[in-house]
Amino acid sequence: MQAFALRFHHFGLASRRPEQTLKFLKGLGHEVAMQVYDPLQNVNLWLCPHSSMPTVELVAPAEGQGPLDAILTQSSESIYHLCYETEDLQNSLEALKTGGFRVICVSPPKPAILFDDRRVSFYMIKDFGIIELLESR
Amino acid sequence: MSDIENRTRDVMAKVLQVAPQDISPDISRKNLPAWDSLKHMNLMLALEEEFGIEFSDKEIADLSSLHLLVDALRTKHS
Repeated sequence: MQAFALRFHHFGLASRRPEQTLKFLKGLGHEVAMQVYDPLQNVNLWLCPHSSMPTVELVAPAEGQGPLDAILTQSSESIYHLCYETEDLQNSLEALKTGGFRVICVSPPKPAILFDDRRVSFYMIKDFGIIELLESR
Repeated sequence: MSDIENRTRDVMAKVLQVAPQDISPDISRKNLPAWDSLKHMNLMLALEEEFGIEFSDKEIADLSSLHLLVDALRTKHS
């Protein structure tokens, strides 16, 4: 049992040219299980599972400002977050802090259209990077 | 210039990847494009480490200029 009660869900891959990125993912054997525009984040999303490899969430900027503006400054693509599922968000956050990790909330919980309106939130973990936490129902 | 301001400017220059001489006294997130949301998080973490303090979530959201940062750090250090 791991201390934070988190279960890996997917990698978050940002891309300015999602068509080419999708072409590569499909070449690897990923499928597109769902594609949506998320108005709360102003991004286009593709959920790309695979029969034997981790799921990739492809995230591309939509028109106007969005959360990827700061991510895609140096490069046209970047694996920029790891997503974990949690049964109890507050419990997992407390466990992270109790474990001595500095946790900064980047984006508070909000419903995610890609995950059937389950809530997602983003955090910067010092010495690890950005994680997305996907809440169970 | 105070020691706190000097140390703050040094950390800003390193994290925001700008030359120290480009950090003017009135620098803020509004007038420095390099100070984006991701770099802001890294800046706050770097300042926490430099000064051995911790910012609240509200401070992280609100401290958006050199002036505000130095004021907050002075208060936390006093």
